[in-house]
Amino acid sequence: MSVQDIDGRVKNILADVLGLDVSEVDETTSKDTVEAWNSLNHLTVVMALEEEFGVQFSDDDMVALVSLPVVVSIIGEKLASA
Amino acid sequence: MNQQVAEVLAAFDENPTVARTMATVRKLEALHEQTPGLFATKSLYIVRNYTLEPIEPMLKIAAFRAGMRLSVAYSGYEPQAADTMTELVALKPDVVFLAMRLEELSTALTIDLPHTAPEQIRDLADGAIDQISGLVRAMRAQSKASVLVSTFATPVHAPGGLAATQTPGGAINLVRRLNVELVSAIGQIDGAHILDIDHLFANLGLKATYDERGSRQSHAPLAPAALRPLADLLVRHIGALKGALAKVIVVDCDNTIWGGVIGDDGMEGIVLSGAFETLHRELRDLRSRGVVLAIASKNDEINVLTCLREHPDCLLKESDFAAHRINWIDKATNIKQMAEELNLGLDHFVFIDDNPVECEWVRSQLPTVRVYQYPQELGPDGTIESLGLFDSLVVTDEDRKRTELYQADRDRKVAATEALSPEDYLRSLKNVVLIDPPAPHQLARVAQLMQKTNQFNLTTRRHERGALESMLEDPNTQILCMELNDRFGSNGLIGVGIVKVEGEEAVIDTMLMSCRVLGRNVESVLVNQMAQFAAKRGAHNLRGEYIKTAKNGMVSDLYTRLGGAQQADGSWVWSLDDGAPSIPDWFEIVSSSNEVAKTEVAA
Repeated sequence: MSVQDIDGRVKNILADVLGLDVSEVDETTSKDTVEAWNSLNHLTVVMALEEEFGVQFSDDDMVALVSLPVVVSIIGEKLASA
Repeated sequence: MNQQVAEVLAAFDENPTVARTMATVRKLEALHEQTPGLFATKSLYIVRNYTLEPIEPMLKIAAFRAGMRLSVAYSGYEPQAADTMTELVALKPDVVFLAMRLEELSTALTIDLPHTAPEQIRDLADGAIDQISGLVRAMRAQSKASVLVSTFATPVHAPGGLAATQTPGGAINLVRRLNVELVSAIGQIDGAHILDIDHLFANLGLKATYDERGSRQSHAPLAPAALRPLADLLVRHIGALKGALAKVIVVDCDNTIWGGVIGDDGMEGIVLSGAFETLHRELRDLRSRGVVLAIASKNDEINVLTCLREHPDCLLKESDFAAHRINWIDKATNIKQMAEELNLGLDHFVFIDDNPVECEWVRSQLPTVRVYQYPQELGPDGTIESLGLFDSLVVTDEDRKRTELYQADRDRKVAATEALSPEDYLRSLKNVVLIDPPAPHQLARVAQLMQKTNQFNLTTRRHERGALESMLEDPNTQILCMELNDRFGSNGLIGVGIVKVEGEEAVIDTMLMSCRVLGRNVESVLVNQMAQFAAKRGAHNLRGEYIKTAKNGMVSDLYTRLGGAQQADGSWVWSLDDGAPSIPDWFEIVSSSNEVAKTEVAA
């Protein structure tokens, strides 16, 4: 799967979970910039990403997943090493 | 269901992911905003000691599917704190879901169990149950919300190894025992019911429901695989609080309750084993919970009835069915006739038939009847139960006897057409009224009647079980419940009266009856017995009032008919110095509490 593919799918997930329009999701989308991305919704974000990509995040991943670029890069690594 | 809503849900069902759950909820909430009244609104307060928030979108979807728009609020993580009650009173939710994990409630009973002194375990276990039932009682006292109480989930990992499985005090067995005790404790509390999360998780596979990472990091121990089924079950419970959606199941015979065609294959040729036996058992179970069974079959009647009466493997017997139409007339007409015979609305009917043509015909003619083609359209696990139409959280004695009650009604109607005058007919019924304060096992039925009787109800006071129990202890208050038997059998508990003596005067707090027995003037017996109690307690007057509602117009002049003198303030008064109001001669009265007055014919 290409980085572009991952990027597109993550954007859709974040838009659906956080209630944004896909066009609003970009490199700046993060826990700091989106109010709805709070700690409770974070559980749902993680659940939705794990379901979409069939991956399991570690404890460290959970803490690290704070913005669109980081999410895309962590998922890319997981899929590459799978 | 609204077309637009159905389309949104159908699109969601094609790919029900977590992300799309959130998006779908937003879409339906927007629709609800645009179209007031699209969904019934319900509010749920989740009182819990662990993170349950991720369930919210699943809950909302399940609720939308059931026609409800659910709003959800959460307590803090220590529900015993005073904040919970303050919040409960402010929120006024319709339903509370009390979800307590034993692991959070008591480490001494869970992960630290091997270090707990055996003699302490009993006390700690009692303490845990008391804590929960105390909380439920407090919530019931301060709010009108129904409370659904989660059982404890069996732990995936338990200390103590194999040896712990050998003793009742081992970690797993302890949870089982606590659950049984929790069920007993909650069963004592009116308006509180159990939601058996432990059985749900056992069905799903305990390991699949447990999220070790979530538990460790965010107090969120439920895996995604647990959330959707739990949401569905919780919404089923919320629906069941109102009582079952349907009351009657009409079944076809050939290739539905047995395999083969009885007219061609004969009794020896049909199949009653396997799936057919399973269906018989399920229908019998539903019948024992108060669901009424009926037959609509195109056959010669004698063939079907002989099979029900004589086939040794046919678990369902003729007496299990309250009505049947076994003939060559179309099934929609037959179902409509049975609805009239049973005096139940068609919207309470479910029809099950293997023949798609019959199903389609009934659907087209009787759109309110729910039609399911056997077997492919039964619920997700191939059962009627899983359709969710017969969910109810309480089963009373009355429910268990319902089929007999309907059968006796049918016999009475036949007798009525043969009798001479109406009075002679009533005399021929050999009515025996049993009237006494409720025995403990009758309280659930009395409370049920108080909640659901709308038409023949003079005051519509909805006393709940707890309130009734305190009245039973008050020497100046009497609750009377009335059963009516006749030569066709029992009509069950059909009337409730509550009278309160206040010095010289007694007041009828409650007077209600089931509409099943109208026309026999049995209401006069209730007033007569309340008057006798009042006179014995020293009252000179008995006063009754009528509080008008949208539904109780039929009893607006009841007390005038029963000989009460209407007063300027609208109430009615009987003077007790001249004796109790009279009752007709077609009643024999059996009572252990009141001396029965000589009966005389009412004017």
